[in-house]
Amino acid sequence: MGQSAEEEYAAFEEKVKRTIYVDNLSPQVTKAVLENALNQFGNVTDVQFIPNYFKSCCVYAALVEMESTKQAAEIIREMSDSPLMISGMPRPVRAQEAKIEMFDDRPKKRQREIKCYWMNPSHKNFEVAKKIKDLTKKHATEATYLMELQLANEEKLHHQQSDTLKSNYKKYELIDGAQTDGTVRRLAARYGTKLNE
Amino acid sequence: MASSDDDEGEIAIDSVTNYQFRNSQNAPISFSILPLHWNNNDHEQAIENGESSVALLGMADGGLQSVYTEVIGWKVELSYAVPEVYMLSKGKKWIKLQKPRKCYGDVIRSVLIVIRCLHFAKRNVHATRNDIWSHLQKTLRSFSHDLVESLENCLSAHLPLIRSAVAKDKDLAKSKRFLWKLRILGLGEEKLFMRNFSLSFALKDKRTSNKSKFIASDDDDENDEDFDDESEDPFDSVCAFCDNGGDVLICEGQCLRSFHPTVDAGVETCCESLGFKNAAEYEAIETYLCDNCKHQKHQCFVCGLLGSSDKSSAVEVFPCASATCGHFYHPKCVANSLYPSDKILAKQLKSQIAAGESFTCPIHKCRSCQQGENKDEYELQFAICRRCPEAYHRKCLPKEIAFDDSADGTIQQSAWDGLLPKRILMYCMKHTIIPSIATPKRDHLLFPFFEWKRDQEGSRRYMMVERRSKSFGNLKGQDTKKMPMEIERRYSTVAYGDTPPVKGKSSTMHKMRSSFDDNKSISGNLERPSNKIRSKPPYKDTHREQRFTSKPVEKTVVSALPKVDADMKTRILKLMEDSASSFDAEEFIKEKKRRCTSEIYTPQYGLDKTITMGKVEASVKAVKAAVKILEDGGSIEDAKAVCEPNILNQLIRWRNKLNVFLAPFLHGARYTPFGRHFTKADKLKEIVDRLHWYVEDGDTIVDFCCGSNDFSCFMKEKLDTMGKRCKFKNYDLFTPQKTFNFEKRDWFSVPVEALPDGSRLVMGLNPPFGVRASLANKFINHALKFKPKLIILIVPKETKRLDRKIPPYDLIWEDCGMLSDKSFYLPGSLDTKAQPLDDWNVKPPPLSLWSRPDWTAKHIQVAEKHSHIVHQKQNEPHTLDGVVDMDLSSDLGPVASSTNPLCNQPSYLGQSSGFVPPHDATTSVQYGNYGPGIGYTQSGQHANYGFPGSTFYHGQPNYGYPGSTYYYGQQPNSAYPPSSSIHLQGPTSTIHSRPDFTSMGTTPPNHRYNSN
Repeated sequence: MGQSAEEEYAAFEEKVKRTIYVDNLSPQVTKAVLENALNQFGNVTDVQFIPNYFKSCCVYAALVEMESTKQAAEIIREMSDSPLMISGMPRPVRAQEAKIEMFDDRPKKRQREIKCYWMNPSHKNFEVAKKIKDLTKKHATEATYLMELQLANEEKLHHQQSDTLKSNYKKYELIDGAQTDGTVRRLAARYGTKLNE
Repeated sequence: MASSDDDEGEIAIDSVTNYQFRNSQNAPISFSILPLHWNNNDHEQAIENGESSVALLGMADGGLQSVYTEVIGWKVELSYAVPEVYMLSKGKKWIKLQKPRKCYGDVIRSVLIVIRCLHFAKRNVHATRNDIWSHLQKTLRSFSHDLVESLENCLSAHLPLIRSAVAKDKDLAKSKRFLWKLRILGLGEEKLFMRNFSLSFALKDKRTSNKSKFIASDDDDENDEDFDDESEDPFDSVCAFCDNGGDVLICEGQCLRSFHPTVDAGVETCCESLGFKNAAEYEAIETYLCDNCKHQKHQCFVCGLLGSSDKSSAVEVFPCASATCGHFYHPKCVANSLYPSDKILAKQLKSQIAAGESFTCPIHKCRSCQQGENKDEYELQFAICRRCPEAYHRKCLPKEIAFDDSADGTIQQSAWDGLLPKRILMYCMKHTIIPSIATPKRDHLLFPFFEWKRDQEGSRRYMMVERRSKSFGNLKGQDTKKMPMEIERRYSTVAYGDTPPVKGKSSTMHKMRSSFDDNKSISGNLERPSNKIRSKPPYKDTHREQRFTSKPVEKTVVSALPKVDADMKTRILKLMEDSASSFDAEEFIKEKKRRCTSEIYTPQYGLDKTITMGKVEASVKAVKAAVKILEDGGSIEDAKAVCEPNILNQLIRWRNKLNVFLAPFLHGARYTPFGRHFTKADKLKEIVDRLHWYVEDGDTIVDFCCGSNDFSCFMKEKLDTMGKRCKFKNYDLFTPQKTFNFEKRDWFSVPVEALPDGSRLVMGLNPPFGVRASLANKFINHALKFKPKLIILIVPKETKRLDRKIPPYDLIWEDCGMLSDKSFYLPGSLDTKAQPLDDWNVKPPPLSLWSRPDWTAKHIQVAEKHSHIVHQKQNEPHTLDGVVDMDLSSDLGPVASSTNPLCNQPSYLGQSSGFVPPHDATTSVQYGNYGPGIGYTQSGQHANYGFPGSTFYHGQPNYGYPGSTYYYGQQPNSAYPPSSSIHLQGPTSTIHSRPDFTSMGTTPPNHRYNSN
């Protein structure tokens, strides 16, 4: 059994290497769309959307497994070289290497076995353990705080982007409206000016 | 540390020749980064920033002594016959610079040019701009032979220097023309002029030496068109405070005004500006609304009083209906001003306006002749007063309003050409020009909610003097941001000190505005531009990994349960800031921009900020109002006063720009493929079926822009079955799915040596087209360097033909119809039904095969053998002659001449349902692709050319199938609505008028031959 667990883990590590993490996905992106978009650069074997914890921002992330490690690396390069928009506004999609921690369903690594037990305050390692415990907590707080900040920024950015988009789209609609209902053309005809459409 | 340990070399040196400057990294650097001093004494208080030291290297004493000394400042002396530059050494000695070291010359060229410019302007106060240019041309030529890069760049790169010089030097300040010239730096006309100048100069330069590397040579033919575009913008972009152009911030609202955002931007005219501290501050604002527009309280242009323009409440002032006007009026004021003598009419108009009817204000009729404006006719252009509703035709302009100061000083210049687009900027006689600021008293603007602290002229001048010295003071420090901002504002309530100085790092962060960049730091919402702006700590959404991995490492152990304390906050903020500042936004943007193919649509920052809501609304409203006027039987003249013809084209330009900007939003799905479109596999197979006959054993087949890389794969398949062994080479910028013989490489970077000899090369296929086939041309040009024996191309018709190249290639055949319809697809994109998106061209790009002249005969033979060329002796004897000529001639002359007459009358003959010999397996697929079979069954021969009487699309008869809406029906494309009239153009009309053409239905299936 141990053997197979090891194998399983090795296979999983392989899979991680083949996988890229893409984020800034628009909510309209479906599995098929993403698959198709990335198939330009290689063969997508699996797409797994990551649940969105940033509800307010409406950007999504996914893990995309490719056929080979090389393809995965290639895609990351392509996408950082040139902004790839999938399903439109507001942002180009970003890609990076997937990390083991990103997988919910990662198998247990055999060597690491975590045991929990209570420790007597008089134990010689008690102080050390306590330090470690506190440090871990501190890191957690810091991480939470950082996340908060990032989230706030993300949100701000999101609002800003959608505001820009909205106002620009409104302008576009205004002009487009005048153009499609023929007002512009009619006036141009009356003026005798040539429109360079 | 300053002077004690300076070396002994310092003592004797007063001038240095063969000099250069190096920074601490030993890289060459321009001295202009050092603080500039204007007199010998003020270096006492110069900031001694010893860290970023600049060293002066050179020779002194006629080359006897080598010099190495650190310098901390510089000054320029413009009073002598030749401008002189001095460096301030660490030992507080001035050292005169003589000749730069040759290799170093490039680094400081621009600043030297600017100094020359200033020098000339100072000594020739009345010099016209032409004088300045010709002077520059003369002196600079003697200076060095390859020196003139774009002068415009030089000048704009050193604007702070120019400004401080103007502020400091009385003579320069007097040199009005020079001033104005600088003022209009950045405005269309002048830009154009400068550009022409530098370009023509560059061309001359190129001929004499090949060194003019400053002018982009590769794409200069593409970015020109933008210019007339801009100069036609009917909206002015002149600061509302000081009536000067330059770097202005445009209000998004109804007032259509622009303002100098910073004191620095308006320093030439001592503009009081909006009072932003630096560019970063206002650049971060997505849309700027001036106080008037924000509070919907606008000034009446007649009486100058504020009134509410808020439609939701009682409206007091109403906007003029004209698209470009932007002025508001009290109904009474404007009515009286329109009918000064007729009380009854005025009263009537007043009530009409008050009831909300649109009106045009007095500035759209000439005061003296009561006629309207015509911008296209020089004499009928308008001069509009900046202070009150007064306007004159150029021809009607009273003599008192002069374009020049009179010699005796009795008349002040009060009109300026070239500042406004096709208009004259002027102040009418009611306003007295104050010579020192070249405008009337600047008390014309009134903002709501602020007590107007209005000084008498004397105190204003005092203020200006003070501001002037402040803005000059900025230059002394190395960094303007470090200056405490205490500029006196009109608003007595405003104090600047309350905002902490922004750190250097943050300024780069604030500059990120590109659409590429999804990270913008924004300043808080502005209520008053003066004191509410506070920069947020710069923050970029840090690299994603931070979220997962980076946790601050901290050795200290906290015993209590951790809380987010201040210390932790600052630490984390610091961390974020560090990570943000490690990202160079400008570099990033530049890098991305390099890859953009369409220069025209890459405005500097995302979308062009000049397209404001106010302008758009006003224009659209004006268009509607103008149409209404006409429908109500009004005169064209009246309509034009509301909406000048330019507006229409401007609207279309805006729409195009917005369209490009919003494209990812409007056509989301189309954006997945990096704007690429690939040829469909079945089309590629067709091409392969035809091409493989020409390929010989041992050839190398090169696809210079392989896309999906299908072509090579199909080709290999086919050639393998034929027993031909070939090599393949495929290039593209993006890695394709099939990496068969693929090399990720920009085609233009492939050197000639990388591929075998031309007689073994078959290359081509579907390059990106670019704007007006510019990219396609580039691809072909690079391909020609390899001298391949065969080139196969899918390029648009605008592409420069290969028989016009030197040396010319011969056309074997051309097929215009093969790639019509949906022959292309957008890789990686799906429509709502999860089907790949098709793409098509309104004008299908022809597929053509070109041969190197020495191979032509052979290839023609192959083509004939496989019926790729059609012989239509009975119908088109002339064409045949051409063909024969071409077949036989290995000599280029006759070919060229024989092809010429055919260029405009291609012989599209016998194109029938069968492009491909009947044995071909893909035939059925291909038919399927051609949609409804009617086209074939009915008259079998010219399916691609439309039938007489069928519906055509914008003169593109190639699309004219009966019922062709079928194709478009799937994806309504408003750009190409079916046109009910038949536009037969060019070659097609010839075909249709030829009676015997239709009788060709029995012609056996053949490939079309087109010899042009």
